[in-house]
Amino acid sequence: MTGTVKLPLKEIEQMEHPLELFDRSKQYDPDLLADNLYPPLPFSGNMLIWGYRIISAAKENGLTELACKEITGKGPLQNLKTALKLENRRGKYSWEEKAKILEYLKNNNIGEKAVGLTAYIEEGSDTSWVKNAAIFRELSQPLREMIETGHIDFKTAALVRKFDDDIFLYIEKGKKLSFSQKRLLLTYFSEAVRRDKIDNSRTAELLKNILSSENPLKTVRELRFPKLSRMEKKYNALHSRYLLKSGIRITPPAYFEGDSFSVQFTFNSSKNLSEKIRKIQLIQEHIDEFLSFLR
Amino acid sequence: MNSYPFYAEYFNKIYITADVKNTVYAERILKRLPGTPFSIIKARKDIPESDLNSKTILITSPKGETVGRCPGTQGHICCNYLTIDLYIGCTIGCSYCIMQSYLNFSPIVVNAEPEKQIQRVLEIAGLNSGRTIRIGTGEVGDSLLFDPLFELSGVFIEAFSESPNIFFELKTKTNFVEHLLSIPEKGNAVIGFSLNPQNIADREEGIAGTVQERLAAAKKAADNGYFVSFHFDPIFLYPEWKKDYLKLVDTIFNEYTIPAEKIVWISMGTFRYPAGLKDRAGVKDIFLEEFVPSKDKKYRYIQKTRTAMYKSIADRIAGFGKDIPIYMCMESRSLWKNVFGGIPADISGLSDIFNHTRGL
Repeated sequence: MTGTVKLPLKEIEQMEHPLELFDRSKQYDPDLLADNLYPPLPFSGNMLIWGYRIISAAKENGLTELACKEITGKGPLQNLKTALKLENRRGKYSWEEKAKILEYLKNNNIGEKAVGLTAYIEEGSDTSWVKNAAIFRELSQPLREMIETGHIDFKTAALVRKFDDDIFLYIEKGKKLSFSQKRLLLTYFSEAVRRDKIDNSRTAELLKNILSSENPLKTVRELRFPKLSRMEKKYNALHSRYLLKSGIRITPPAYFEGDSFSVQFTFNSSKNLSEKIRKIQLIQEHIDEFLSFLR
Repeated sequence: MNSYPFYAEYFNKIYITADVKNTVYAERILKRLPGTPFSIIKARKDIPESDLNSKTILITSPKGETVGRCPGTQGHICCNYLTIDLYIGCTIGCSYCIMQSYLNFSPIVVNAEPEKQIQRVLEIAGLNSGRTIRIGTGEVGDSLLFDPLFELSGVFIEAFSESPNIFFELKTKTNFVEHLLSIPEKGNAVIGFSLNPQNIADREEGIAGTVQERLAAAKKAADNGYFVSFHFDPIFLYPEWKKDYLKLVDTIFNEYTIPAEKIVWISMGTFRYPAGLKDRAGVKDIFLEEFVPSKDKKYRYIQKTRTAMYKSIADRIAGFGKDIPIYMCMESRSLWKNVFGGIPADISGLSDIFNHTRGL
């Protein structure tokens, strides 16, 4: 290992950049750079190991040279570790960056070591980033962009990755949905498509119909939970048949899970109370129809 | 899969805590897995992080309370089963296994000091004279998956053989019963087999024994003096569920001719899961049916659907022996009323099984 040397910016830029893996959008602080406060850029032979953000900032600040330090005798994995240590953003790497890290490892035939890098990349010891970064690499460009711009989360994107890209355009152009509504809609939609084995050629049209319906979330819920939705509709019809405009509400347990119904009504006179009680007594004759929803 | 090379191939490392290093069980594993590297350690915390996974086996002594109760879940009826943690962790790899959510970074733990646990169970049995004590080792692991290596279950069976109120159950998805057959005094020992149709076992139950192997083992166990039990749990809903599960019931009685009087109980439980399991498992077909949240925050099939499933299976079983106790695992009062017309305390033959054990 040698000491620090000043190298011309042009020379640094012309070096090989296989480790240019990190997001450059957040610039290195120009004030710190003006005061020469930055770590020396590590390089090995003709390869820059880390410091691309500093190079960008240096160019913008009109600097012509930067302090560098040559690292010798290290392999691709060690060089990556050095870059990750200097980057020092454990737990904050984007999927795009993680996918690039994985690609670098594969290009250097050290793919199986990815799990061992978890300590430099994630906060905990969860190694699932390796599997997920591989999934991310396979996503279409529009989906990757949607993740990076915060329009969709990775988990949902992974669920819907096999759909045509048109689908995502419909969602973006369709009714305004919040992030969580979008996630719910796509989750229900993809689960229903998978369960009902809906052909890929029909999914775009189906989603278009859902999004153009009056209440897309209600419509997609009916697709995902057909039995439950049918029960709810049937129950509402039954309720209307016997209790429409009666001022009495008989409510089943949530999701028809339980054994008790609740009855709710208000009254404002003795006569009014008698009417309500009479109505409830009439319902008693049909109570099996209500109870059948729970049995 | 019932041979020592199977274990030798699977395990990378053995750790033995110093307090059990001279036990016959520690000696047994070192003799039976001679090529597997081992270390004697003071305590579990001495295992390096890199070995904290299911390829590591830790032989130690039980810590804390040696006998527990099935934790049950809020709003659901629990059968008050007692548990002994003998083998903690499982390598069968069932896709629906809830243990995968919380035993992720743990070695397989073997509590190789059965005397403490036996003593405690006998104490409890004494306090509950005349009441049935149901106790098993299948709560946090498969009771028999590693048992051929250690032969710990036999020690319990023999120790409880003279206690008329202890029903000691070994619950498994394997067919590893050979090493138990020659035990002379079996008392009320029960070998319990978890069952699913073969297509489900193939898809969801990892390296578990085939259903035919499990049933053949059940027959062998029954013929050699054991009680047996069957656990239809988890029962999955899919288009052909009814045909497949009813055929499975028929197979037990018709093909394997297991006598009803040797079947000490049969339990049923439809597939349920906490939200975390779905997150962890990712996209899997078993989560695509219609599930609704229950009081215990687990997701279950719609109540009406569950009722139909339980009724079909229970009716089929009852057709082969009306006196076989059938119960549901972790189900609500509503389901009990729907399926059996009442809760366990009101059902003859079940009230005894659902006893609340004193002394714990």
